[in-house]
Amino acid sequence: MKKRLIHNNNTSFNRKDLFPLTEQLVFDLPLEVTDVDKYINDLLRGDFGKDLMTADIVFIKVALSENYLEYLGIRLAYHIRLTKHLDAKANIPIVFIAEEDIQFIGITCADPSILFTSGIYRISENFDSLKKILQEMTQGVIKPLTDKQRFIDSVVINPPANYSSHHSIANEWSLLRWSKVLDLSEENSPLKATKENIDNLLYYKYLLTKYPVEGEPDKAKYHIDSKGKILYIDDEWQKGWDIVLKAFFKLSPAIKFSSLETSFKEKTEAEILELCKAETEKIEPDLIILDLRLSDTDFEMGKKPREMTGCKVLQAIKKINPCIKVIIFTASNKVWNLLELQKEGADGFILKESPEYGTDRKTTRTTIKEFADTVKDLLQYTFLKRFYSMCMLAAGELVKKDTDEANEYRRFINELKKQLEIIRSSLLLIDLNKPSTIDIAFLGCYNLMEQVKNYYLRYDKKDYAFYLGLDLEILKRYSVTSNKLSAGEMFVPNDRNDRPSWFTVQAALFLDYFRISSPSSYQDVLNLKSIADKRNEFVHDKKTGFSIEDLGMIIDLLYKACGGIKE
Amino acid sequence: MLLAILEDRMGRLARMATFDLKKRPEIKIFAGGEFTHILAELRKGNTNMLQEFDSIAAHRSALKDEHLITQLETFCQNNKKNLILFSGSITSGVFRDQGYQFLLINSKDFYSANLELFLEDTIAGKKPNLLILQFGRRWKLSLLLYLRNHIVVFSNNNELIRVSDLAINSQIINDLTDDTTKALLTGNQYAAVSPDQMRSLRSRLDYVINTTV
Repeated sequence: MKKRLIHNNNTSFNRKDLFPLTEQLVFDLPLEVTDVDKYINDLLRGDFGKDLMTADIVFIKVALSENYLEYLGIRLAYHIRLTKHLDAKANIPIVFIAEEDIQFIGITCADPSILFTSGIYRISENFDSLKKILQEMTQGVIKPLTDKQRFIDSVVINPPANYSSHHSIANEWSLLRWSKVLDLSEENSPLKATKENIDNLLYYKYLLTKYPVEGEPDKAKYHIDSKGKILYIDDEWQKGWDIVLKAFFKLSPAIKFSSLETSFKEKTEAEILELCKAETEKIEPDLIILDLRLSDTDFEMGKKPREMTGCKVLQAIKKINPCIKVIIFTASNKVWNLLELQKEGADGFILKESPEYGTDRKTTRTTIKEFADTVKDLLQYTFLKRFYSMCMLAAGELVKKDTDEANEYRRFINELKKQLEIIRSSLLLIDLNKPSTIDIAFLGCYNLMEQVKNYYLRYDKKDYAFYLGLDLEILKRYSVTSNKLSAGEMFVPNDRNDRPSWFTVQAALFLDYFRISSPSSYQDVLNLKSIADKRNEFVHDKKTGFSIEDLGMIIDLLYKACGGIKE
Repeated sequence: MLLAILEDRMGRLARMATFDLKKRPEIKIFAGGEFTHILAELRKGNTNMLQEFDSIAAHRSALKDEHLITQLETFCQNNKKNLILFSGSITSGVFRDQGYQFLLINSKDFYSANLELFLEDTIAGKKPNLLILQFGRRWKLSLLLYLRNHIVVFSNNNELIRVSDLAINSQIINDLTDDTTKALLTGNQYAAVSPDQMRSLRSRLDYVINTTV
């Protein structure tokens, strides 16, 4: 029988006749060692681990330091059970040597559950007990752990104190699983640090044994065939998420991905908010992946999602442009929290996996696939960001053109402002699965231009002709044939039904009144014609609806028209 | 003053502390500009501003410069100050008493209610005891269990030992003293310990341990 004794020079069993020196390991935490789990892990990876592979039974003093209550022997036993590379030897019979009985240790140890699992024995520090247990070992009474699943279901290992925030656990846990599924090399330094942390830390060994993960990358599934700029805002970007997400978006070359690369620690909430706003204005992303907890204060107990820095950043982004899509990347799965964020404008949610819920391999792959689908879906709406910006610029033009005088012109400008509000609201409601939402926005734009037309179009009863504005600019009968513009004569109605069309007036406004276009450069006029034709086809049931391009075209014209308005 | 805390992350302190540290006159928190200043002074080798404190607690990760950690250790060792290094990445606390008390502790454990217990104990005129930071009210148990193990090993080895070999921590002597152990614990430290005395001490120890739990 090959036995091993692990002690801290604190046992009478270290006599050579009981345990020859080759069977002993003195566990003596060097003064400079500051991470117990790492020290134990290094032991198990080194010669001691190799030696253990040949042993049949291991005796461990329950205390392996002068500070008895640290119970490092128990911690070592957990590591033996949960260290993957020890394979079957991880189940070796473990005998604790202690004067205290199991119940006593159970009361005074932080993580005592291993004591109550099979394959664990305890003897007092006396020679008879040792002799007896060695006899029992020879007789086959002492057995290794046989049912690992039962073991893992019975033990409870608490996370280190600072990990009691669910956020940190989910973050590292999720990070590792994503990197495995995406088949990322752990040599990348931040990932390496997380991997080492996970390799060393007893808590993670426990989780990995309980919820094993193997990478079976099916990267084709994660390809996103949409274009766009994505900004990632997370205080823990440096811990590896930045690398994981970069690798993820590398699979989709049309996507430009960047992270807000700053140190969030020790920045106040206001500073973080300003940084996020500045980066959003600089990068002009189509989509932002946003973490909720960005500042130390977000970890305070009982803090509501609405009070978190991430939520304030969300509000600020939506103020810059509500059509910038935002995915909340969070460890919280509380539906009411997510609903609150949805009210603030969040467009999607991706849950960082947590050992507390959803932990099988399928979940990681499903989460990543869902992430890809959500990004793909939201990037289909990138056009909205530009359209909304154009409307905001148009609104800015109207502000410039406004007057203090309470006159008809002011009423006109106010009506246009209100119509622009309606258009902006309709843009926010656009749903590509409901094409009529595009039609509504289009017709809203058309109406605004109709208002412009109606304001400027004048009929002079003296000479029976149509003019534009108070300047009485002559209205010409503009027409387009085969993309050729012709001006035609002054618009004098031939009969009562001969009225200037929407196009005729818009063309005249663009060419002669606002002077946005010229007879030599009249693409806008061609676009006005196209818009007028499409709208007429739609009204007369010859066209089912408008396209994103149609909407973009009319918003562009609308912006130009607003820029041309004059009193 | 009792305790200096060198902390670069006041947000975390505020989040984790179970009582208002700023209101405690026994504590001086070096944060913000003061933290930067003290780091600069330490880099120059100047430790004067730490002389007035019995114990010094520092955020280990903030003293990234290994040289500063060593300097702080040397200063505490030479001046018999207690040193506490805390960090979020410390998974299992480590305590050592080798001329000066040294404790590695997780930040959350450091800012726990044990810190208040530690202060109260020290205000009561006792020597600062870092075990209280680690184990709270059960701090004596660690010393008692250690002593019991010590006694068992001596007994098993049938070694002839003196009272001083038992290396009984002064903080538990009162608890262990009764009629049966008084002579051993208060007598000549170089006297041999008889088997009877050993049995009496063990018996008293078992009793104190059980009542402590």
